[in-house]
Amino acid sequence: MKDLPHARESAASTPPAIALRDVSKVFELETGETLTAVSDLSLTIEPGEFVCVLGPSGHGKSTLLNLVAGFLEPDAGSVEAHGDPVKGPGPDRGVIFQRDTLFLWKRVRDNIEYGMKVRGVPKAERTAKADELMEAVGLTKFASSWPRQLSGGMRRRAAIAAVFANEPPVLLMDEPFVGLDYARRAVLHDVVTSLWSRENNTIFFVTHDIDEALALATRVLVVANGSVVYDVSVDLPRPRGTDTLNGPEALEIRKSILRHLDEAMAVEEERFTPAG
Amino acid sequence: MSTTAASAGGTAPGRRALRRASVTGAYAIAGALTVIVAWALLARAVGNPTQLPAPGAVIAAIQANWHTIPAVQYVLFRPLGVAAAVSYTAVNVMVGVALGTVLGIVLGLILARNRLVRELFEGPLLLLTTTPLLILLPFITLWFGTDRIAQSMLVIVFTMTTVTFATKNAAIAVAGHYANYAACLGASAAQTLRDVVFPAALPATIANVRVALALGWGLQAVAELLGGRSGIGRVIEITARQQATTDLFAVVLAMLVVALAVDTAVAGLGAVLTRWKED
Amino acid sequence: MSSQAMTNTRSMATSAPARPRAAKRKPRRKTKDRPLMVALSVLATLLIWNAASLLAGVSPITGDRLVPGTLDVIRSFPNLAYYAPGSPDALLASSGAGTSVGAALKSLLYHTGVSALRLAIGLVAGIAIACLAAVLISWNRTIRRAFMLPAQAFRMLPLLALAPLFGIWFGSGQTGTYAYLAFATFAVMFPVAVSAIDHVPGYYTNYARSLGAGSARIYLSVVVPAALPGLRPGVLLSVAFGWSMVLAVEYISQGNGLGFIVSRAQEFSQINTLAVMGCILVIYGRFSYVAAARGFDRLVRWQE
Repeated sequence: MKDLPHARESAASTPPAIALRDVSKVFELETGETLTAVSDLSLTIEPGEFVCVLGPSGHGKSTLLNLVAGFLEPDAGSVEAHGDPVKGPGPDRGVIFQRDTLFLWKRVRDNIEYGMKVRGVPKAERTAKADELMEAVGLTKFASSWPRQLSGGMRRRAAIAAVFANEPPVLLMDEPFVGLDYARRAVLHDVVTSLWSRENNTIFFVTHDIDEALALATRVLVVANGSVVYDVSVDLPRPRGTDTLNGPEALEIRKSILRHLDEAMAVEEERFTPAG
Repeated sequence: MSTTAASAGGTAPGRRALRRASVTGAYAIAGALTVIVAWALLARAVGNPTQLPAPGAVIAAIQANWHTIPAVQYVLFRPLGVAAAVSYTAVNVMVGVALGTVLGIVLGLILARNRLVRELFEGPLLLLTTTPLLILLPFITLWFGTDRIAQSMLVIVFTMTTVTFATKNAAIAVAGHYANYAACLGASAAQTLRDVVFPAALPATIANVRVALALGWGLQAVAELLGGRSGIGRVIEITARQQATTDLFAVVLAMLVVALAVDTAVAGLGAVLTRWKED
Repeated sequence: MSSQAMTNTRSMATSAPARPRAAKRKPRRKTKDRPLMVALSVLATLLIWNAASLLAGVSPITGDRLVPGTLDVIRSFPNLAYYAPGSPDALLASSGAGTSVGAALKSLLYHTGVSALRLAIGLVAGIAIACLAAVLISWNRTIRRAFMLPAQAFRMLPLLALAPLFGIWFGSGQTGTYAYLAFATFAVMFPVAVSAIDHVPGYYTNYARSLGAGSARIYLSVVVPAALPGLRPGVLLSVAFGWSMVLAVEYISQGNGLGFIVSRAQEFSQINTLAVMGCILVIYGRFSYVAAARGFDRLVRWQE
């Protein structure tokens, strides 16, 4: 897990990037049932980690992300980022959503600069940072295009650049590459990992794709029935090509992840409490 | 029609848009000609200009009545021409729509962003959208007299209510989508309103401004007809009373041409303002 | 329409995180404080209305309040009895003698019936003709596109002010009134119907063609029904505008109907009676709009 030098150094001196203590979140459903999306969950993520969260749909992955982002408040327990309690969303925790959030009425460059602009970053600095990021995600030629003129994969790259441009120490990604084909995903994985190693930030990445988790993460969590049921560090060398991802070490991790996912499905029904 | 994938920054889209516009224009001219021919044939069949004047006669009447309409002067004891009547109405409609649009955008954004205001005043405002606006006219005359601004009041109210709810609905529909994102980037409430909610609602706002503009001519004309001093409504009322059908048609046709020109201008402005829009 | 959009987004915000298996398990909306808010809303409106009434002052001519208050409206309701058919003179209404709520109700009912009949005939005829015309000119895409501009221009006619023209054509009888209302509804409805057909997605026809249907058959059995939901804004606009048109034609040339009452009340400066009519028309407008929306949604309930 602590294979990155910067992660080890900062862990000793600074508070954790994300810390959840005994967090619970319950939803009331229209049917009158209640659903415990997150129950008594504790979790610490150190600065510089790339954490992928796996788990069945509706078992609390996204709720977890929304709690950290500040879109939801916990019913019990505490959520902290960089040692401070989370009070709503903020620029210290960037979010890349599953749904496209590029502003359709701003050109690619203006989208990428928007976060810096609202935080009052000077124009010259903004331009330089945007140039750098467009270069990194391969969109330099499309700086003055409207989002509608981009393909699906290019839009995702622009969305990633827009959030990275804001230099958030923590980055939350909610199934960001759903619906893209294999080749486009591979490109985006390279984009994200290279930006991550350069920016030295912490990434919390929700996905339902084990291969994606293994390709990206330094640490994989399996969340099921509102708790972390499995927590494993992934020490595979980078870049992670096909050979690495099909090597014995990777297969071993994959097997144990699958086992925990299977166990989770077996007890799924228990989480619903009938009304009354 | 346009390619969605990577073809950024080319000059082809511009040319293609131009070609599309000229094709639309050709269709429009063909359609207008068809209607005029049908009208001419019908007028010949009727054979009575008091019932239905021919297109040629109406166009000639626009020219002849440009500075003063004899049938109207006979009643008003002062000259009132097609040019003056149409421009009076047109200015009132445009000023009314402009004022109503500004009020509507402001109100719509307030309703979208402030839950308390929405809960308290959305209901009453919604009632106003379905109220037969004509009933406001006696009150407007009573409270504001027959000034120009009073004459545009119906247009103002209609535009305002239409635009308010279009803006509010669009703003709420996009707010959930974009507002979280903007908050994560560190945008303040005011910045979110200006940079996110307002532009996102703009296409719906403009579409409804055009509806208000189209129906605004009728609202303005009826206000003039039921107690104005000038404008096409006044001319319609006087010419109808004297069975001067050709003069009536002339002023309506002239107004229609102006209305189409104004609508085209607003549509063009809207297309430029929302050129980022997906097809 | 708008409250629907409101609840949509509200549930979107809460349901996104917890999307367990089936879509029916949506988190419940907050409905507890709803009646309280409605009551507060009514209260706030009444307060603002009556505050305006007190601030606006009194007419120097009639001595009535320039903005009649809620109580003025309630007290003036019996005045409507003076407008009953065969009633001597509306002038008496300003003195306010010898009226009863029952007689007023009867009078209101009569004029409402007259106006509602005009509205119904105008709407049905106008919408039917508009749809028929749209179907006729729309079978060919070129013809349809060519008619877009005339259709738009039709809507820009000063419709509310055209009643006198129909007076020239048909005299001041009922025929002219119906023809005017049908024409005005047609003008509002026609562009909507044409564009509804224009916006039917191409995959409908492709699918029908893949099933082996001929083009006339596809047009009538696939394109026309698929365009139906697109008529909604036009129908609702027609209803909302229809009332104003009925009022306009009655105001100008008819001896009965709600617009006639408004015209007489204005003529005799009966501010309070005008306010009564205002309140009644607010209710009628809302009621008919909601009824039309419900009815239309029922008609196209197969829609997603």
